[in-house]
Amino acid sequence: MSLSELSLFVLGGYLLALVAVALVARRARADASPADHFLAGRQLGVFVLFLTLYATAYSGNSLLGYPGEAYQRGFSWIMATGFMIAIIVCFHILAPKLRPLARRRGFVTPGDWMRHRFGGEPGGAALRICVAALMSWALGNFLLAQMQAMGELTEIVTGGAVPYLAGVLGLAAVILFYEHMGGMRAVAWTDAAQGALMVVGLASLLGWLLSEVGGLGELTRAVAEARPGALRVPDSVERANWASSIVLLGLASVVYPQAIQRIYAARSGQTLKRSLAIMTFMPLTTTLVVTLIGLAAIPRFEGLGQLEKDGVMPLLLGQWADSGPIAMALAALVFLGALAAIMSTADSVLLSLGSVLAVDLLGRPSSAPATTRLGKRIAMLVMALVVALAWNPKLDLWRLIELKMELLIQCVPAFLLAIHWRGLSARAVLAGILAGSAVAVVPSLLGVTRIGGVHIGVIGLAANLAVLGITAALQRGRRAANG
Amino acid sequence: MVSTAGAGGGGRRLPLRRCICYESSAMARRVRAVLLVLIGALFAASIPWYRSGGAESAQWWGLPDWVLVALLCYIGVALLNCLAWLLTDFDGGDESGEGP
Repeated sequence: MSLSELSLFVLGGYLLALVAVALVARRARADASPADHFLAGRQLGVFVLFLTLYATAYSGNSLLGYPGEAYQRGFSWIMATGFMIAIIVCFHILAPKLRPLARRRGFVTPGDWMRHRFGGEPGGAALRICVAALMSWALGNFLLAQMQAMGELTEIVTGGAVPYLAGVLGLAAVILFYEHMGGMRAVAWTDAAQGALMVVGLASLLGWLLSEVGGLGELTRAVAEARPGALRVPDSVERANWASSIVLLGLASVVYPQAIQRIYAARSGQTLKRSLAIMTFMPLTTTLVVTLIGLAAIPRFEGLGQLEKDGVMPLLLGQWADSGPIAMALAALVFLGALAAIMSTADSVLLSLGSVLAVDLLGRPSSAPATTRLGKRIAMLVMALVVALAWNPKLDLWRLIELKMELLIQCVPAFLLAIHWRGLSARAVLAGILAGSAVAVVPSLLGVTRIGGVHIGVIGLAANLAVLGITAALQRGRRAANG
Repeated sequence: MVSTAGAGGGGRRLPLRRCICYESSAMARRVRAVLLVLIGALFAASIPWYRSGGAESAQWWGLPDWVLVALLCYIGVALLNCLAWLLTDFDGGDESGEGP
């Protein structure tokens, strides 16, 4: 049996298991309310919450995009371990204050916070719609990256038996099914299994790679021989990009709607803080591992192009599988782990997108069962649109993440600042977001993605905060003048 | 009972247990703030500002020296951040609030 055949077999079994989980989750639901469908009735315990946070944070980008980046950039991609830890650090700014409020007020979507904080103010509704639109755009982009990664991985690992488009369509259908049937409960349960698969698979692959080259020191020497520049100290532009990536990923990931909804879905504050305390170590067991895997690919496949680099992981799996039957079984496990990680992120994004569009953008009440039905229908439409866009992949996975983060980071003041600054007005936040988004989007459309290594989204955030500060000062001055 | 106004008296009097809880949570907040400052410093130190760009690197424990420094900083951040989360008080415990 070849790796392609084994992978097909494993994939078939896994998809059947997902369908079974969806049916069990359907039976476990308490009612048809949005809180039950989108937040699993706010009953996620430490273990499931941790694994769902983990499987959601580590996606197709982490498992295919990051090894590709490490392969292209060399050792400076150690920055990825830093920015993934930065996400859990940045949650300190939001979670401790948002969680108790969400519990008391029954928040379901990020827009519920916006309604609570800015609802009665002039500009409050416009701000909520603006933030929901930015979040929806970012989530749509993220979903596209996941679908793209799913199709690529399935095609490569099954040796073309499941072509790219069939992979995208088939897996999209399975995700829609279990999300539609079981909501967050099905998503969280499948995430738990997917997270466990991912850890075991990646650790096995790294173990094989290191044993093949003879340890970490030999790996570094082999990389130095194949590409000496991969070991050199990064120049000032690369260092600025390192710092910028920590800021961009750290802050923007905290305002992911699916991350915010997991803050709401935790059974208690204790559950949430324990889950986040464990999560802080996961970049060391996942991002660092995929970085080393990408580096190990340098001496093996020198000369891959910009889009081909995302295929580094499947290429390694193919080589590993050739080294014996046990290796083949483990390679199939890694394939499944990677695919599971991608699916778990896609399902979480889709679930969030359905709720954000239904509640925050279309303004439906977050407590009515009709909103749940609308959210499900929207999820189907979005999936159809994304599958159509995934037909012809044009951007590499890392660029798709950057694009998403550059817009998402503009929403940071509406959450991270507004939760601490009581006097901050909706109009000031809205003015900042509009200015920051313009600064981030216009150069991106012209092909400028970084200035001196700093992401255009981070420069946009600086403009965002400057405009917000000026508007807030002008408003205060006007209020003082009016007595 | 303990007076919140110290030896001078005149302040509210709190039960000793509540007072100890208040003191320990105030201490936890201070420790957490220090941890977060240290985490920021470790993030800054993880980037090789201290080396000139393009310079050759020595190998330490099988990794380029600047990579090992970054990795040690990130291990430090993970440990401190874990501690900071364990010291986090979700505004006095959210279970006391009214349900949704």
